[in-house]
Amino acid sequence: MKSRNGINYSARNTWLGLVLIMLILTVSTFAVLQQQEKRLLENAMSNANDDIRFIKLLLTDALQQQNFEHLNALVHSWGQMISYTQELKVTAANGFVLGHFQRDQQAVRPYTLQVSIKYAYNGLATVTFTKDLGAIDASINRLRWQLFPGLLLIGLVFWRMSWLGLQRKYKAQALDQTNRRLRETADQLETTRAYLRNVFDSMPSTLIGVDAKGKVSMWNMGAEKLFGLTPAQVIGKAFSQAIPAYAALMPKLMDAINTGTPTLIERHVSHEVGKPLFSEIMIYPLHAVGTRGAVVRIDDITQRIQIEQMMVQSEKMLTVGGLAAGMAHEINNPLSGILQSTQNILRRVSPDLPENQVVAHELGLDLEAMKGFLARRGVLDFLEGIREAAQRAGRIVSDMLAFSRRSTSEFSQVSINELLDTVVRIASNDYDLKKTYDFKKIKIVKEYDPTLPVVLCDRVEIEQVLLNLIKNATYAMSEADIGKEQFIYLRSTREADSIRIEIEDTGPGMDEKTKRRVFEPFFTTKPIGVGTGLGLSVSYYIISEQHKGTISVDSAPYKGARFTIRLPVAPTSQRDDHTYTDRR
Amino acid sequence: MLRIRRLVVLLMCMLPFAVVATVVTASQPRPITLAVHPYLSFQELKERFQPLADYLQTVLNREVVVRVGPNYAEHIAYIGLDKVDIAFMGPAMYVRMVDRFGKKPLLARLAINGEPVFHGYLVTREGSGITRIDALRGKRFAFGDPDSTMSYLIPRYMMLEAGIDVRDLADYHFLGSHVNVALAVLAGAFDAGAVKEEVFYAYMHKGLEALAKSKSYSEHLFVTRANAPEDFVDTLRQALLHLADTEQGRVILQGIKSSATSLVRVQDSDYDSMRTVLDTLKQHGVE
Repeated sequence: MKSRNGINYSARNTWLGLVLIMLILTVSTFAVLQQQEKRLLENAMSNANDDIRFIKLLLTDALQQQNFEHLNALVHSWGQMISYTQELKVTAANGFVLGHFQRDQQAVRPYTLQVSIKYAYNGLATVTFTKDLGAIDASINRLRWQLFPGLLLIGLVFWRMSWLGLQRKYKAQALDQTNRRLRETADQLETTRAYLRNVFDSMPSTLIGVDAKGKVSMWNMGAEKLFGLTPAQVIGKAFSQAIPAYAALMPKLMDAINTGTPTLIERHVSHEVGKPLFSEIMIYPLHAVGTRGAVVRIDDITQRIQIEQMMVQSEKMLTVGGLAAGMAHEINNPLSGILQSTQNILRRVSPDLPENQVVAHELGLDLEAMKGFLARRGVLDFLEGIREAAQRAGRIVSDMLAFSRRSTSEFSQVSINELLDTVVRIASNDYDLKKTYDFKKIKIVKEYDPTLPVVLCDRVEIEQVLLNLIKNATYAMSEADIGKEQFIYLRSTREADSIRIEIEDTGPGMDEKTKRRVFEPFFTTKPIGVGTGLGLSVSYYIISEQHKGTISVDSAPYKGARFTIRLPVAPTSQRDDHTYTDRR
Repeated sequence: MLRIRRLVVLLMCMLPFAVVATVVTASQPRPITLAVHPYLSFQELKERFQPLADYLQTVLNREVVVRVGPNYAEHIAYIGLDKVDIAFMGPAMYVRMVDRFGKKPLLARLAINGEPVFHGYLVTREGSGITRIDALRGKRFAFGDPDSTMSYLIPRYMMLEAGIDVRDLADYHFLGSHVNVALAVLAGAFDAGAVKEEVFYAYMHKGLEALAKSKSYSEHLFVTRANAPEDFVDTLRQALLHLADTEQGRVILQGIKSSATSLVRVQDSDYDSMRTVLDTLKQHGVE
């Protein structure tokens, strides 16, 4: 038998089960019947024994009273009365039959009992009682006829139940298997989906899936982060509605979907998040069977653009640096001439120089009078001013040359205290600081550790960092002019294996958000055109990357700001001059 | 005073009704009583004799009721004192009744198989080895009822004639009925017994053997009260004598005794042989 479920062996099993059940039931029934027959037989025999005891009692009474006349009547009446009596006979000791009852019908299962009754003169009458136990056969037959259909019915019901049970079992098993497979498939799908989702989300790019109608069908973490929108907010919406800033892409997106041609938009500028956002957009059409749509990859290239801009700026700076170096060099020559000439003038009008006395005598000139004249007319002051100005210009040029001179770092043993002084001097001569922020109003407080060891570092770069910090402090304090005296504290301290440098101002301080982002490239609080936002990020790079030190800021609104730089103290063997290739 | 007057008036009003009731009652004849001695159970005797009572009621145009006496003595006394109209009695009972109360008008006697006499048998079982009455000495003997003619009186007489008294027997018992005697003998409970003729014949084929047969004795009879009117006696006698003339009458007779064939004329001398027996027994102390 082949079942619809293909469970052919289950039918065979149930047939075998039926045969087995029927066999067991038949054997059981026979056993029951046999047991029942035995029990009935025992009961019937027991009843027959009871009957004959009772008959004996009656007949004994009759015999002992010598009521022979009624004996036969008694035998007949009790023979009739007692069920299934086949024969009841009372025989006198001499063989005379005193009473005899016998049914005409042949006994099926005769059961004969005999008892003796003592009567007159020690005679013994014999009572023979034969009972037909054939009723047992009838009863057993009835039981058999009752049991066998019941047996058949029970067997069939049991078989049917077994069959249904098996069917249910196998169906349940099949269902379980199917469910298990479905679960496994679902798990695999879920795993794959999670994996794809993970991949999708792990992509640094912003990935947005759209269907054939341009509606958003997928939205990865990058998109969520970039646009601040959760998938629930955008899934199902048209791409242009989901991201209005990119609505202009919609025609290209649909075109890519319809033509199946990948489309690259190298630079797209939007102001969706309050600042210029540069992105590179790639539209990948999907060609899977039964699926049309596209995946839009948006790469935030703002930083790259900014780095490019920074590089341009840097190039500009390098160019400017080169120009400055060239200019400084060119200025340095005439400046040297001016300084030298001024010094020569002063030296050659001085009465103290013997050669001047010789020439003045020859010319009849009184050098003391001329000196008085020059002094009274302020010529000497002018000359002295020219010399001082030239000297100052010389130092400025020298600093400029040092600041912008090269693309390689040179590590040398540097005294931080001296370096701080140098930076203060540069700052005080910085045009912007002098003219725009009036650096002279700010009181510089130096708290140097005189025992500070020299540090192996790139002097120029550390100088740049320190100068930048002082400039920032000056800018911050001048912007928030609170009408009271402003201070910049310069501190240097020796720590266990490093030098700590602190530059602290009494400016307006920073809030937490600003503090967190202060080292980010291009983060600036200055107006556009004033700052590039690179100062502190370059400083961070110089300290942490170039010198393996740390730089941190401690500030709160209206509490000023304190930048702390820790530079490792190099081992003695490393305190020799080294030149590293600048990795920037 | 007023009350007494009213009571008198009421009684005067009721007087005619009382007179009428008395006249009516007096005009209804007394039922005829048919008395039977208790040789069977009351019910059995009622069933056997009621058809005869009905027959007589038809003949006499008077109600006839069956009366079964509680015992033989009372039955004899009732007949003797004329308290019943018709009585059915055995021969020994009749002889005793006459001896004590005098003769009564005789109506008819039974005829069994055409013979108005019957016999008794001393019986034993086949192979008992007892062939003569005097061989009963030292044997166990079964009688029927002490009042029974054929199961006691006649056998005692026969044994006396043979020179055997009950004292000579090893043992004897009264077993109540003829059948019981026959069965007891057959069963070996007794060596011999006395039964009436019909019982002997009934059990003869079962092994009952006749040791001795009695002389002929007149059968049971019907008598009436001594003070009965002549025409009443004649009417009754004719009714009984002609009972067997019809099939219905024969059925009535066979209802009383299956072997009865008719009722025949009877006279007191028919019972003289019985008187002899009773006298002899009386001489030997058997009453």
